[in-house]
Amino acid sequence: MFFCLFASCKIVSGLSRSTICDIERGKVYFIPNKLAVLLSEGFIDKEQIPVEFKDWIEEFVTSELGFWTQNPEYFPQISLEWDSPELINNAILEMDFHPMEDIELIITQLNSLRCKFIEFRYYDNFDMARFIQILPLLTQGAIRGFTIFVPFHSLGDIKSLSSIYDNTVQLQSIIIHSAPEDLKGSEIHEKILITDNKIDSKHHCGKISPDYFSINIPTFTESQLHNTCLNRKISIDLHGNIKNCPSTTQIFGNVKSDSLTEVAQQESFKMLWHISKDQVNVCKGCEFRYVCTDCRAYLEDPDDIFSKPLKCGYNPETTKWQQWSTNPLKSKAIEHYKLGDAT
Amino acid sequence: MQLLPGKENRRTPISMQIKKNLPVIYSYMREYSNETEEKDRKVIQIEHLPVYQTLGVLMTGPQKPISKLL
Repeated sequence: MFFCLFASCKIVSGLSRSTICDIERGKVYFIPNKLAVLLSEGFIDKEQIPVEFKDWIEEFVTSELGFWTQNPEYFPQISLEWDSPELINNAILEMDFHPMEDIELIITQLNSLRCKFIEFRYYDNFDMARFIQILPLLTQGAIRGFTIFVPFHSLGDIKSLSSIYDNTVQLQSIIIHSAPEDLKGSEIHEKILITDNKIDSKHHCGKISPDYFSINIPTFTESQLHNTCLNRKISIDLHGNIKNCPSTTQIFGNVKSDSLTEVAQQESFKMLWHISKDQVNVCKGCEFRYVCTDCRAYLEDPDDIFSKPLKCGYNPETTKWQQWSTNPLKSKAIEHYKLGDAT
Repeated sequence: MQLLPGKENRRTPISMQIKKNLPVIYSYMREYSNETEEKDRKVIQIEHLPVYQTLGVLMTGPQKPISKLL
């Protein structure tokens, strides 16, 4: 008799502990490294289970992480290959000042790239009437969903947003930022989130936290060989510059003169797509590395592209989370990126 | 879609790429063929799932955060 893990329960070894990532049900379980080694093939003979781990195995059966079988060879591992038909999966557009014709051109090009998701960021200047004008472009073509970040102070009446959320199935959420503290968390509509977080620049992005973990098959498989944040992403910054992410510095063109399709096919543009967590210092020993979304824009060592994300406070050696912004070892990088109150 | 009354979260190999893993499904059926009739029924239902569900594709929303601003 053999104990066999379900194929969608993947073991990820870390420096001090390991995880079983249940990428079908979206859960992570912690296990000792020694047990992870025993289960590295996905199954283990009942006779070979050390006494100290018998209770663990029984618990795995109860939690439906695995099962007993006479024939473990009938249950092969799932393939961890990843691919996707779209040339660009998601886009971030910093919106405040683009002329209408540029926005229309950008969205049309994103549609032709089969882009599925768009994040519109308004830091300071949201014009509802202008946004309603572009809605028809978002409700046809490849775009499956979009999110909008809008500053509270540029909204007259929050309920007027209903002209967007009532008629657009592709709208996933409207995040109203920089709101007064007493309005934080107000429930106006299921698609509206109100926060008092001040999001007035790109510097607020890149936070690493368990809240952002994505425990699912697409992310787990993508993360084996790709960067979970930048892979198949394209961004347009406030000045129309085409980048991997609004927070990265390298510019690959401008929407006024260059086509998104041509930029997206440049090998230099795709370079960051292939930096997986297994290549990133510290992250390569982290038990969360295949469910965590990376950041290559803000790094602990700004001169090393394989450096750990600056805004991650997790230490896989101690297995403790700490506030990243108060870590004295990060102060130099915080200063380098001029993060100011975005910490 | 309610696939299995009273047990929405039952574990099956359905979320794998269906073509590559057909052997898994068939072996799953073999595995349970000598057990209870109820288990047999559950396994056979796998074949009737719509393709998008067998591929584990969510029809709305990205499966990972596009940005980490909050």
